[in-house]
Amino acid sequence: MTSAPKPALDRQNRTAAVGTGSLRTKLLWSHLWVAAIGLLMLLVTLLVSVWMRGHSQRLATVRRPTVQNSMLVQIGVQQSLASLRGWMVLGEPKFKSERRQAWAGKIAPAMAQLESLSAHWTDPANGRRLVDLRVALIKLKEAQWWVEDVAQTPGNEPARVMFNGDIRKIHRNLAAAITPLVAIGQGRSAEDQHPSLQEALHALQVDYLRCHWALGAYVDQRAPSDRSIFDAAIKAAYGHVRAITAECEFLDREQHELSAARPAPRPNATAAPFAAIRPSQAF
Amino acid sequence: MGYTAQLLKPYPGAELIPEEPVFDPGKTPGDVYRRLLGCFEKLREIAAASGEEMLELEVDVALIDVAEPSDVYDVASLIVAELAHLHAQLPGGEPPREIYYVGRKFPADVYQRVGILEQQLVQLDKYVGSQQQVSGE
Repeated sequence: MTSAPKPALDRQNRTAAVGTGSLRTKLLWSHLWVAAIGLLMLLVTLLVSVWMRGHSQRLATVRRPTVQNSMLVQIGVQQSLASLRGWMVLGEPKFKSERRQAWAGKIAPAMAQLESLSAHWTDPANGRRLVDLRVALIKLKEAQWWVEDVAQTPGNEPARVMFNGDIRKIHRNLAAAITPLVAIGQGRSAEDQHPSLQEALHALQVDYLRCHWALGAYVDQRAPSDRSIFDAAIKAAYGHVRAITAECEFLDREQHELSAARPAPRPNATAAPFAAIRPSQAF
Repeated sequence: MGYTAQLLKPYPGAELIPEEPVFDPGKTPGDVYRRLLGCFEKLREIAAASGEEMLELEVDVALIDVAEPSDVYDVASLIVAELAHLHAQLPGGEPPREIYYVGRKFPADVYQRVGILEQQLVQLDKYVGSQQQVSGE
Protein backbone atom coordinates (compact mmCIF):
# COMPACT_ATOMS: atom_id res chain seq x y z
CA MET A 1 0.00 0.00 0.00
CA THR A 2 2.85 2.21 0.76
CA SER A 3 4.59 1.58 -2.50
CA ALA A 4 1.56 2.30 -4.69
CA PRO A 5 1.68 6.08 -4.74
CA LYS A 6 5.42 6.04 -5.48
CA PRO A 7 5.21 5.97 -9.28
CA ALA A 8 2.65 8.72 -9.14
CA LEU A 9 4.98 10.75 -6.94
CA ASP A 10 7.88 10.02 -9.22
CA ARG A 11 5.83 11.07 -12.19
CA GLN A 12 4.71 14.16 -10.32
CA ASN A 13 8.26 14.95 -9.27
CA ARG A 14 9.52 14.28 -12.77
CA THR A 15 6.80 16.45 -14.19
CA ALA A 16 7.67 19.14 -11.66
CA ALA A 17 11.37 18.67 -12.41
CA VAL A 18 10.72 18.79 -16.08
CA GLY A 19 8.49 21.81 -15.57
CA THR A 20 11.13 23.52 -13.44
CA GLY A 21 13.88 22.63 -15.97
CA SER A 22 11.87 24.06 -18.84
CA LEU A 23 11.27 27.32 -17.07
CA ARG A 24 14.90 27.57 -16.13
CA THR A 25 15.96 26.79 -19.66
CA LYS A 26 13.45 29.23 -20.99
CA LEU A 27 14.67 31.86 -18.59
CA LEU A 28 18.23 31.07 -19.50
CA TRP A 29 17.51 31.27 -23.18
CA SER A 30 15.55 34.39 -22.69
CA HIS A 31 18.42 36.02 -20.82
CA LEU A 32 20.89 34.72 -23.33
CA TRP A 33 18.80 36.18 -26.14
CA VAL A 34 18.57 39.52 -24.41
CA ALA A 35 22.32 39.46 -23.79
CA ALA A 36 22.99 38.42 -27.39
CA ILE A 37 20.76 41.18 -28.72
CA GLY A 38 22.46 43.60 -26.37
CA LEU A 39 25.87 42.43 -27.50
CA LEU A 40 24.80 42.63 -31.14
CA MET A 41 23.50 46.14 -30.64
CA LEU A 42 26.69 47.03 -28.85
CA LEU A 43 28.68 45.63 -31.73
CA VAL A 44 26.56 47.50 -34.28
CA THR A 45 26.86 50.69 -32.24
CA LEU A 46 30.59 50.16 -32.04
CA LEU A 47 30.86 49.64 -35.76
CA VAL A 48 28.66 52.66 -36.45
CA SER A 49 30.73 54.70 -34.01
CA VAL A 50 33.95 53.62 -35.69
CA TRP A 51 32.45 54.37 -39.11
CA MET A 52 31.15 57.72 -37.94
CA ARG A 53 34.44 58.55 -36.31
CA GLY A 54 36.24 57.80 -39.58
CA HIS A 55 33.79 59.89 -41.54
CA SER A 56 33.82 62.73 -39.04
CA GLN A 57 37.57 62.68 -39.09
CA ARG A 58 37.59 62.66 -42.90
CA LEU A 59 35.00 65.43 -42.92
CA ALA A 60 37.07 67.50 -40.53
CA THR A 61 40.47 66.88 -42.04
CA VAL A 62 39.79 66.42 -45.77
CA ARG A 63 36.34 67.37 -46.98
CA ARG A 64 35.75 70.54 -45.02
CA PRO A 65 39.22 72.00 -45.76
CA THR A 66 38.77 71.00 -49.42
CA VAL A 67 35.47 72.85 -49.66
CA GLN A 68 36.85 75.75 -47.64
CA ASN A 69 39.96 76.09 -49.82
CA SER A 70 37.98 75.69 -53.04
CA MET A 71 35.76 78.53 -51.90
CA LEU A 72 38.80 80.55 -50.99
CA VAL A 73 40.18 80.09 -54.51
CA GLN A 74 36.84 81.20 -55.92
CA ILE A 75 36.72 84.25 -53.65
CA GLY A 76 40.32 85.08 -54.55
CA VAL A 77 39.56 84.89 -58.27
CA GLN A 78 36.51 87.12 -57.83
CA GLN A 79 38.54 89.57 -55.79
CA SER A 80 41.35 89.65 -58.34
CA LEU A 81 38.84 90.29 -61.14
CA ALA A 82 37.14 93.04 -59.14
CA SER A 83 40.51 94.69 -58.47
CA LEU A 84 41.42 94.42 -62.13
CA ARG A 85 38.15 96.11 -63.10
CA GLY A 86 38.85 98.82 -60.54
CA TRP A 87 42.29 99.43 -62.04
CA MET A 88 40.92 99.46 -65.57
CA VAL A 89 38.15 101.91 -64.78
CA LEU A 90 39.72 104.19 -62.18
CA GLY A 91 43.44 103.66 -62.69
CA GLU A 92 44.22 103.75 -58.97
CA PRO A 93 47.39 101.81 -58.10
CA LYS A 94 45.82 100.40 -54.91
CA PHE A 95 43.76 98.08 -57.14
CA LYS A 96 46.96 96.64 -58.58
CA SER A 97 48.26 95.78 -55.12
CA GLU A 98 44.85 94.39 -54.14
CA ARG A 99 44.91 92.10 -57.16
CA ARG A 100 48.37 90.89 -56.23
CA GLN A 101 47.23 90.38 -52.65
CA ALA A 102 44.31 88.26 -53.87
CA TRP A 103 46.69 85.96 -55.73
CA ALA A 104 49.42 85.83 -53.11
CA GLY A 105 47.23 85.86 -50.00
CA LYS A 106 44.22 83.83 -51.06
CA ILE A 107 44.56 81.86 -54.27
CA ALA A 108 48.14 80.61 -53.91
CA PRO A 109 47.85 79.36 -50.29
CA ALA A 110 44.43 77.82 -50.98
CA MET A 111 45.82 76.01 -54.03
CA ALA A 112 48.78 74.76 -51.99
CA GLN A 113 46.33 73.40 -49.40
CA LEU A 114 44.27 71.72 -52.11
CA GLU A 115 47.43 70.15 -53.56
CA SER A 116 48.33 68.63 -50.20
CA LEU A 117 44.73 67.53 -49.54
CA SER A 118 44.49 65.90 -52.96
CA ALA A 119 46.61 63.01 -51.66
CA HIS A 120 43.63 61.96 -49.51
CA TRP A 121 40.97 62.31 -52.18
CA THR A 122 39.32 59.07 -53.16
CA ASP A 123 37.71 60.15 -56.44
CA PRO A 124 40.35 60.30 -59.21
CA ALA A 125 38.14 62.74 -61.14
CA ASN A 126 38.80 65.34 -58.45
CA GLY A 127 42.53 65.02 -59.02
CA ARG A 128 42.01 65.68 -62.71
CA ARG A 129 39.82 68.67 -61.86
CA LEU A 130 42.57 70.06 -59.68
CA VAL A 131 45.08 69.76 -62.55
CA ASP A 132 42.63 71.58 -64.86
CA LEU A 133 42.08 74.23 -62.20
CA ARG A 134 45.82 74.77 -61.83
CA VAL A 135 46.27 75.21 -65.59
CA ALA A 136 43.27 77.56 -65.80
CA LEU A 137 44.59 79.66 -62.92
CA ILE A 138 48.04 79.96 -64.52
CA LYS A 139 46.40 81.19 -67.72
CA LEU A 140 44.12 83.56 -65.82
CA LYS A 141 46.97 85.05 -63.84
CA GLU A 142 49.01 85.68 -66.97
CA ALA A 143 46.03 87.13 -68.84
CA GLN A 144 45.21 89.40 -65.90
CA TRP A 145 48.79 90.64 -65.85
CA TRP A 146 48.66 91.61 -69.51
CA VAL A 147 45.28 93.29 -69.13
CA GLU A 148 46.54 95.21 -66.11
CA ASP A 149 49.65 96.20 -68.02
CA VAL A 150 47.84 97.50 -71.08
CA ALA A 151 44.84 99.04 -69.31
CA GLN A 152 46.27 102.46 -68.48
CA THR A 153 48.58 102.83 -71.47
CA PRO A 154 47.94 104.67 -74.74
CA GLY A 155 48.25 101.27 -76.43
CA ASN A 156 44.84 100.39 -74.97
CA GLU A 157 43.36 102.85 -77.46
CA PRO A 158 45.03 101.96 -80.76
CA ALA A 159 42.67 104.23 -82.67
CA ARG A 160 43.80 107.26 -80.68
CA VAL A 161 47.47 106.25 -81.03
CA MET A 162 46.98 106.01 -84.79
CA PHE A 163 45.05 109.28 -84.92
CA ASN A 164 47.61 111.18 -82.85
CA GLY A 165 50.54 109.68 -84.74
CA ASP A 166 50.13 108.74 -88.40
CA ILE A 167 46.85 110.52 -89.14
CA ARG A 168 47.90 113.80 -87.55
CA LYS A 169 51.09 113.74 -89.62
CA ILE A 170 49.13 113.16 -92.83
CA HIS A 171 46.69 115.89 -91.79
CA ARG A 172 49.47 118.41 -91.22
CA ASN A 173 50.87 117.70 -94.70
CA LEU A 174 47.48 117.93 -96.39
CA ALA A 175 46.45 121.06 -94.54
CA ALA A 176 49.80 122.63 -95.42
CA ALA A 177 49.08 121.93 -99.11
CA ILE A 178 45.38 122.80 -99.33
CA THR A 179 45.57 126.15 -97.51
CA PRO A 180 48.16 127.75 -99.89
CA LEU A 181 46.34 126.22 -102.90
CA VAL A 182 43.24 128.17 -101.89
CA ALA A 183 45.22 131.28 -100.93
CA ILE A 184 47.07 131.39 -104.26
CA GLY A 185 43.77 131.18 -106.16
CA GLN A 186 42.24 133.95 -104.03
CA GLY A 187 45.27 136.17 -104.65
CA ARG A 188 44.85 136.09 -108.41
CA SER A 189 43.62 139.05 -110.36
CA ALA A 190 39.95 139.09 -111.40
CA GLU A 191 40.68 138.10 -115.03
CA ASP A 192 42.86 135.12 -113.91
CA GLN A 193 40.18 133.81 -111.55
CA HIS A 194 38.54 130.49 -112.37
CA PRO A 195 35.46 130.54 -110.14
CA SER A 196 34.62 126.84 -110.51
CA LEU A 197 38.20 125.79 -109.70
CA GLN A 198 38.40 128.20 -106.81
CA GLU A 199 35.08 126.97 -105.52
CA ALA A 200 36.27 123.35 -105.74
CA LEU A 201 39.49 124.20 -103.89
CA HIS A 202 37.58 126.00 -101.17
CA ALA A 203 35.04 123.18 -100.88
CA LEU A 204 37.91 120.68 -100.67
CA GLN A 205 39.39 122.64 -97.78
CA VAL A 206 36.07 122.74 -95.93
CA ASP A 207 35.18 119.10 -96.51
CA TYR A 208 38.65 117.89 -95.72
CA LEU A 209 38.60 119.73 -92.38
CA ARG A 210 35.13 118.33 -91.68
CA CYS A 211 36.45 114.88 -92.45
CA HIS A 212 39.38 115.28 -90.04
CA TRP A 213 37.19 116.75 -87.34
CA ALA A 214 34.67 113.87 -87.66
CA LEU A 215 37.48 111.32 -87.41
CA GLY A 216 38.80 112.97 -84.25
CA ALA A 217 35.31 113.12 -82.75
CA TYR A 218 34.71 109.46 -83.56
CA VAL A 219 37.96 108.44 -81.89
CA ASP A 220 36.91 110.43 -78.81
CA GLN A 221 33.27 109.46 -78.49
CA ARG A 222 32.66 106.63 -80.96
CA ALA A 223 29.32 108.07 -82.01
CA PRO A 224 28.02 106.47 -85.23
CA SER A 225 26.84 109.92 -86.39
CA ASP A 226 30.49 111.08 -86.55
CA ARG A 227 31.29 108.15 -88.79
CA SER A 228 28.44 109.13 -91.12
CA ILE A 229 29.77 112.69 -91.21
CA PHE A 230 33.24 111.35 -91.99
CA ASP A 231 31.95 109.10 -94.80
CA ALA A 232 29.97 111.95 -96.38
CA ALA A 233 32.85 114.44 -96.01
CA ILE A 234 35.51 112.18 -97.48
CA LYS A 235 33.21 111.29 -100.39
CA ALA A 236 32.64 115.00 -101.03
CA ALA A 237 36.39 115.71 -100.72
CA TYR A 238 37.13 113.07 -103.37
CA GLY A 239 34.51 114.69 -105.60
CA HIS A 240 36.28 118.04 -105.21
CA VAL A 241 39.66 116.41 -105.96
CA ARG A 242 38.18 115.00 -109.18
CA ALA A 243 36.74 118.41 -110.09
CA ILE A 244 40.12 120.08 -109.45
CA THR A 245 41.92 117.39 -111.50
CA ALA A 246 39.53 118.06 -114.40
CA GLU A 247 40.48 121.73 -114.32
CA CYS A 248 44.13 121.25 -113.49
CA GLU A 249 45.26 123.14 -116.60
CA PHE A 250 44.05 126.33 -114.85
CA LEU A 251 46.35 125.71 -111.87
CA ASP A 252 49.53 127.74 -112.00
CA ARG A 253 53.02 126.26 -111.57
CA GLU A 254 53.14 126.81 -107.81
CA GLN A 255 49.73 125.20 -107.33
CA HIS A 256 50.81 122.26 -109.50
CA GLU A 257 53.87 121.78 -107.35
CA LEU A 258 51.81 121.94 -104.17
CA SER A 259 49.26 119.43 -105.41
CA ALA A 260 51.98 117.10 -106.70
CA ALA A 261 54.08 117.28 -103.55
CA ARG A 262 51.18 116.46 -101.25
CA PRO A 263 49.43 113.25 -102.23
CA ALA A 264 45.69 113.10 -101.80
CA PRO A 265 44.52 111.29 -98.67
CA ARG A 266 44.08 107.60 -99.21
CA PRO A 267 40.83 106.19 -97.85
CA ASN A 268 42.69 103.34 -96.17
CA ALA A 269 45.00 105.69 -94.33
CA THR A 270 42.33 108.06 -93.11
CA ALA A 271 39.84 105.35 -92.23
CA ALA A 272 42.41 103.25 -90.35
CA PRO A 273 41.27 104.40 -86.88
CA PHE A 274 37.80 103.02 -87.63
CA ALA A 275 39.34 99.62 -88.14
CA ALA A 276 41.46 100.07 -85.03
CA ILE A 277 38.40 100.51 -82.80
CA ARG A 278 37.51 96.93 -82.05
CA PRO A 279 34.57 95.55 -80.15
CA SER A 280 36.97 93.92 -77.69
CA GLN A 281 38.30 97.32 -76.72
CA ALA A 282 36.22 97.53 -73.59
CA PHE A 283 38.79 99.02 -71.29
CA MET B 1 58.52 88.96 -71.71
CA GLY B 2 55.70 87.51 -73.80
CA TYR B 3 58.12 85.10 -75.46
CA THR B 4 59.72 84.13 -72.15
CA ALA B 5 56.31 83.53 -70.59
CA GLN B 6 55.54 81.16 -73.46
CA LEU B 7 58.89 79.42 -73.00
CA LEU B 8 58.11 78.93 -69.30
CA LYS B 9 54.65 77.49 -69.92
CA PRO B 10 55.69 73.85 -70.36
CA TYR B 11 57.20 73.82 -66.88
CA PRO B 12 54.57 73.24 -64.21
CA GLY B 13 55.10 75.42 -61.20
CA ALA B 14 56.85 78.15 -63.16
CA GLU B 15 55.76 81.72 -62.45
CA LEU B 16 55.06 82.92 -65.98
CA ILE B 17 55.25 86.60 -65.08
CA PRO B 18 57.04 87.07 -61.78
CA GLU B 19 56.45 89.91 -59.38
CA GLU B 20 57.95 93.14 -60.70
CA PRO B 21 60.93 94.44 -58.72
CA VAL B 22 60.61 97.60 -56.66
CA PHE B 23 60.70 100.79 -58.73
CA ASP B 24 64.13 102.32 -58.37
CA PRO B 25 64.13 105.92 -59.62
CA GLY B 26 67.10 107.68 -61.12
CA LYS B 27 68.29 104.91 -63.40
CA THR B 28 70.22 105.78 -66.54
CA PRO B 29 70.18 104.08 -69.95
CA GLY B 30 73.59 102.66 -68.93
CA ASP B 31 71.99 100.83 -65.98
CA VAL B 32 69.32 99.39 -68.25
CA TYR B 33 71.96 98.43 -70.79
CA ARG B 34 73.99 96.60 -68.14
CA ARG B 35 70.93 94.71 -66.92
CA LEU B 36 70.02 93.76 -70.47
CA LEU B 37 73.54 92.48 -71.08
CA GLY B 38 73.11 90.28 -68.00
CA CYS B 39 69.86 88.99 -69.48
CA PHE B 40 71.60 88.31 -72.77
CA GLU B 41 74.29 86.29 -71.00
CA LYS B 42 71.65 84.28 -69.17
CA LEU B 43 69.88 83.72 -72.46
CA ARG B 44 73.09 82.43 -73.99
CA GLU B 45 73.42 79.92 -71.15
CA ILE B 46 69.84 78.77 -71.70
CA ALA B 47 70.39 78.45 -75.44
CA ALA B 48 73.64 76.52 -74.88
CA ALA B 49 71.87 74.15 -72.47
CA SER B 50 69.15 73.64 -75.08
CA GLY B 51 71.71 72.93 -77.80
CA GLU B 52 71.03 76.17 -79.66
CA GLU B 53 73.67 78.52 -80.93
CA MET B 54 73.44 82.21 -80.29
CA LEU B 55 75.27 85.35 -81.24
CA GLU B 56 78.16 86.41 -79.09
CA LEU B 57 78.08 89.98 -77.88
CA GLU B 58 81.23 91.79 -76.91
CA VAL B 59 80.73 95.20 -75.39
CA ASP B 60 83.40 97.60 -74.23
CA VAL B 61 82.82 98.01 -70.48
CA ALA B 62 83.75 101.68 -70.69
CA LEU B 63 80.93 102.26 -73.14
CA ILE B 64 78.23 100.75 -70.95
CA ASP B 65 77.91 103.77 -68.66
CA VAL B 66 77.63 106.15 -71.56
CA ALA B 67 75.08 103.99 -73.39
CA GLU B 68 72.22 105.87 -74.99
CA PRO B 69 68.56 104.84 -75.34
CA SER B 70 69.25 103.75 -78.92
CA ASP B 71 71.93 101.33 -77.65
CA VAL B 72 69.43 99.97 -75.15
CA TYR B 73 66.94 99.55 -77.98
CA ASP B 74 69.52 97.66 -80.04
CA VAL B 75 70.39 95.16 -77.34
CA ALA B 76 66.71 94.77 -76.42
CA SER B 77 65.93 94.00 -80.08
CA LEU B 78 68.71 91.44 -80.10
CA ILE B 79 67.29 89.74 -77.00
CA VAL B 80 63.80 89.71 -78.52
CA ALA B 81 65.19 88.16 -81.71
CA GLU B 82 66.98 85.43 -79.75
CA LEU B 83 63.91 84.75 -77.64
CA ALA B 84 61.80 84.55 -80.79
CA HIS B 85 64.28 82.03 -82.15
CA LEU B 86 64.04 79.90 -79.00
CA HIS B 87 60.26 80.24 -79.03
CA ALA B 88 60.19 79.01 -82.64
CA GLN B 89 61.90 75.79 -81.49
CA LEU B 90 59.10 75.15 -78.98
CA PRO B 91 56.73 72.55 -80.43
CA GLY B 92 53.15 73.81 -80.38
CA GLY B 93 54.10 77.05 -78.67
CA GLU B 94 51.38 79.69 -78.64
CA PRO B 95 52.25 83.07 -80.16
CA PRO B 96 53.15 85.78 -77.65
CA ARG B 97 50.80 88.61 -76.77
CA GLU B 98 50.24 91.44 -79.15
CA ILE B 99 52.61 94.37 -78.69
CA TYR B 100 51.08 97.68 -77.70
CA TYR B 101 52.28 101.23 -77.30
CA VAL B 102 53.03 101.85 -73.63
CA GLY B 103 53.63 105.58 -73.93
CA ARG B 104 56.71 107.48 -72.90
CA LYS B 105 58.80 105.76 -70.25
CA PHE B 106 61.80 106.67 -68.12
CA PRO B 107 64.91 104.48 -67.95
CA ALA B 108 63.84 103.54 -64.40
CA ASP B 109 60.56 102.12 -65.80
CA VAL B 110 62.48 100.10 -68.38
CA TYR B 111 64.95 98.97 -65.72
CA GLN B 112 62.08 97.70 -63.58
CA ARG B 113 60.56 95.91 -66.57
CA VAL B 114 63.88 94.28 -67.45
CA GLY B 115 63.92 93.03 -63.85
CA ILE B 116 60.87 90.89 -64.64
CA LEU B 117 62.60 89.50 -67.73
CA GLU B 118 65.66 88.76 -65.62
CA GLN B 119 63.59 86.73 -63.13
CA GLN B 120 61.90 84.87 -65.97
CA LEU B 121 65.28 83.95 -67.46
CA VAL B 122 66.60 82.81 -64.08
CA GLN B 123 63.60 80.49 -63.78
CA LEU B 124 63.99 79.27 -67.35
CA ASP B 125 67.68 78.61 -66.79
CA LYS B 126 66.85 76.58 -63.67
CA TYR B 127 64.22 74.49 -65.45
CA VAL B 128 66.30 73.93 -68.58
CA GLY B 129 69.29 72.99 -66.40
CA SER B 130 67.32 70.51 -64.32
CA GLN B 131 65.78 69.02 -67.46
CA GLN B 132 69.24 68.56 -68.92
CA GLN B 133 70.39 66.84 -65.72
CA VAL B 134 67.45 64.44 -65.90
CA SER B 135 68.12 63.63 -69.57
CA GLY B 136 71.85 63.26 -68.78
CA GLU B 137 71.13 60.71 -66.07
